[in-house]
Amino acid sequence: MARYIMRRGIASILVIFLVSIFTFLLIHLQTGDALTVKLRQRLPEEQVQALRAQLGLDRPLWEQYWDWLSGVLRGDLGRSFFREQEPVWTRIKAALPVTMELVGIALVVSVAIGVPVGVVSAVRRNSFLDQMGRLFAVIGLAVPVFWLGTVVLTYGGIWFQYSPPLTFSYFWDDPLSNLEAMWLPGLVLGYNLSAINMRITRSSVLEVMRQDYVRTAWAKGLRERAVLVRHVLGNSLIPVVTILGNQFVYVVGATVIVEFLFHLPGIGFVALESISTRDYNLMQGTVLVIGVMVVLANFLIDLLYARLDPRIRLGAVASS
Amino acid sequence: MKVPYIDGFEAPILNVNVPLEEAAFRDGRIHTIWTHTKKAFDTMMRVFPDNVGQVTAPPPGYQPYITLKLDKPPLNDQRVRAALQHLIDINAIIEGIAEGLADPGLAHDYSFYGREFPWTLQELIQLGANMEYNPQKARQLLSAAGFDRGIGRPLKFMYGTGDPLIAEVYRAVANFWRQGGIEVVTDEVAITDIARFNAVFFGKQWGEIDAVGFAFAGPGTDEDQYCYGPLNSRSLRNFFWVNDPRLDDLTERQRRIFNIEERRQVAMEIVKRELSQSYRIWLITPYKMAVRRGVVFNVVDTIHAWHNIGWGSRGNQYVWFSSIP
Repeated sequence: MARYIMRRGIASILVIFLVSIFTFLLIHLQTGDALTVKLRQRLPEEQVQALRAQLGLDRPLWEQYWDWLSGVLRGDLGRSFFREQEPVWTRIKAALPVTMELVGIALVVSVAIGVPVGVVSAVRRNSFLDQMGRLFAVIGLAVPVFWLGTVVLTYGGIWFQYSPPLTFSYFWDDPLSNLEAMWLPGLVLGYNLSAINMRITRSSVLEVMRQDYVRTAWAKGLRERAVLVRHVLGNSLIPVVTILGNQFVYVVGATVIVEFLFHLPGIGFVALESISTRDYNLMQGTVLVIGVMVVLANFLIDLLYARLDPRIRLGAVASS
Repeated sequence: MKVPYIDGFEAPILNVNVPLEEAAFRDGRIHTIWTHTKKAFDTMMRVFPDNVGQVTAPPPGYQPYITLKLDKPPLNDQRVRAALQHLIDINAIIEGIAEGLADPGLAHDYSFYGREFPWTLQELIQLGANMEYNPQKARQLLSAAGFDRGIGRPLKFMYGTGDPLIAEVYRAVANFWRQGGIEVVTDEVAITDIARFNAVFFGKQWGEIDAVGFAFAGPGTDEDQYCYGPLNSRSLRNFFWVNDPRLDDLTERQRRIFNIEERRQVAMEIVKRELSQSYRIWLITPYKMAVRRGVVFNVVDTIHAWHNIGWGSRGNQYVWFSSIP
C-alpha cells in the first residue's frame, strides 16, 4: 500500500507541475498583457518599457516561469500586478474558504437530494414516482449551471423579489448573512450534481436488490424498511461515495461560473478576474491552488478505491 | 465615511451581471440601476411605486463609433471611408436598436458650441458629415476609388460585446456593410478578453484588423479632449491613426486661444474637417436610461448624468418620469 501511495503521490506532483507549465504558456500566448490592461492608454515608448521592466514582463518567458516556480518552492506565490502589489497568497487565502464552503454545500445538497430520490426511484421501479425521479435526473443533467443560475436569479427577483446579498460575509463573522449568500448558489450547483447521484444510486440499488443475500432477507420475512436499510443501502452507496470524489473535481471547475453569477469572492471568481486582467502571478497562483485541490481529490479517490477494492492496490504491486 | 442624512455608501461592483443587478434592484438591495434597454427600463419602473426614471442624452464620453486603420489601403482613401459611412442607416439604428432613445453620435462636446442638445443628423450632414444613408452614392464612391465590388478584400472588424446595446449596433453596421457588397469578417471580443482588445486598440497592434468598434471618447471637461487628444498626430490619445497636417495645425491652434468665441470657430473647423474626411465612422449616442428609488433623491442624478461637473449639465437632461409614460 505504501508503494502504491508513493507512486500516486509522485504522479500527482508531476501533474501539478505540467498544469503550471501549460497555464503559463497558454496565458502568454494570448494577445495583451497586464500592462495593456492596466494602462488603457498610450504612453511614450520609454515609459512603457520602464513599466514593463518594473513588472518583469520584459524578461524571457522561461526566466519569468523559473522565477515564479522558485518562489512557489519557497512558499511565495508572488504579488498581484494589480491591487497595489497585494501578495497572491493573501488573495487566495481570502477566497479559498468561500469556494470550499460552496463546494461543501453543493456536495451535501447533491447527496441529500440525489440519494433519497434514487432509492425511491429504484424501490418503486416503473411507478409514477420513478418516472418523476428520472425526469428530475434528466433535467438536472441537461440544464447547464450557468442557465439555471441565471433563471434562478431572474425569476427569484421577479416572483419573490429576492436576490442574494451583494456583499459577502465569512461564516465565522456573520453566519446568517454568509448562509444567505451561499444557499442559493449551493442549491444550483448541488442540483446539477444530485441528478448524477440519483442515477447512480438508482442503478446501484437495483443491482443490489437482485443479489442473493437480499432475496434471502426477503425470504426471512423481513419488512421492506429493514431490508432496505440493513441490506441494500450500505452496499449500494459504495459507488456513490466513490463518485463524490469525482464530483468534487467537477464542482471546483463549475464554481468559476457560479461564483461569477452570484458575486461570490471565491477562487473561481479570482481566477476569472486574473485571466481577464492578465494578472499572471495571481492567475498562476489560483490555477496552482485549483490544480492542487483537484489532484489531491483524485489522490484521495485513488486511495479510497484501493481501500474499498483490494484488487486495485494488489494489481499495482503486481504490475510493478 | 459619515455624511449628513445618510449612514454611508455601499458600492458593490457587479461587472456586467445583469440578472443579479436586476434581482438586487427588485429586492431593494440596490437603489439605482442603469437599464440598457427600453424594455428593461419599463420593467424596472414598475417594480416600486416610488421609482423615478431618468433618461439623459449623455455627453460625448461614451458612445459606439468605429475607428479605422487609416494608414493602409483601402481605408487611407477618403472615398472608401465616406462610402462606409454612407452605407449605414443611422436612423434605422436609432429606431430599430435604440428604440428611438438615441441621437446621432459625434464625440465633440456639443455644449461647448452653445448647444442644449446633440446635433441632429441633418445638422451633421450640413456640417459636412457623410452620414446620409445613400447606398447608391456609396457604390459610386467605391467605384471611383477603383472597386467594382466591396473594397477588394474582406474587411476585418473587431468590437467588444460588453454592452449589449452597443454590440447590437456594431452587428447592425456589419450587416449594413454586407448589404453594400462588402465582405465583413467580425471579431467579437468578450468582456473577459478585454486585455486583447486593449492590446490591439491602445497598443496599436492592429495586425490584419481594419476597423475597431470603440465606445469611449472621454471623459473630458474641455473640448480640447475631443480635438487635440484624438486628432493630433503627436497626441498620445490619438489611437485613431489620424495623421492630417491640417488637423494638426487646427488642434494646436485651438488650445492656445483664450477667447471662447474665437476658439469655438477654430474648433468648429476641426469638427467639419474630421466629419468630411470620415476619419471615424460615427453612429449613435444612446440615451442613458436609469431608474432610482424615490428615497435616494438627488444622490444618483449626477452619476447618471455621467458625473462631469460643469459639463453636459446644461442640456443633457431630457426627460424625467415619475411613472411609466
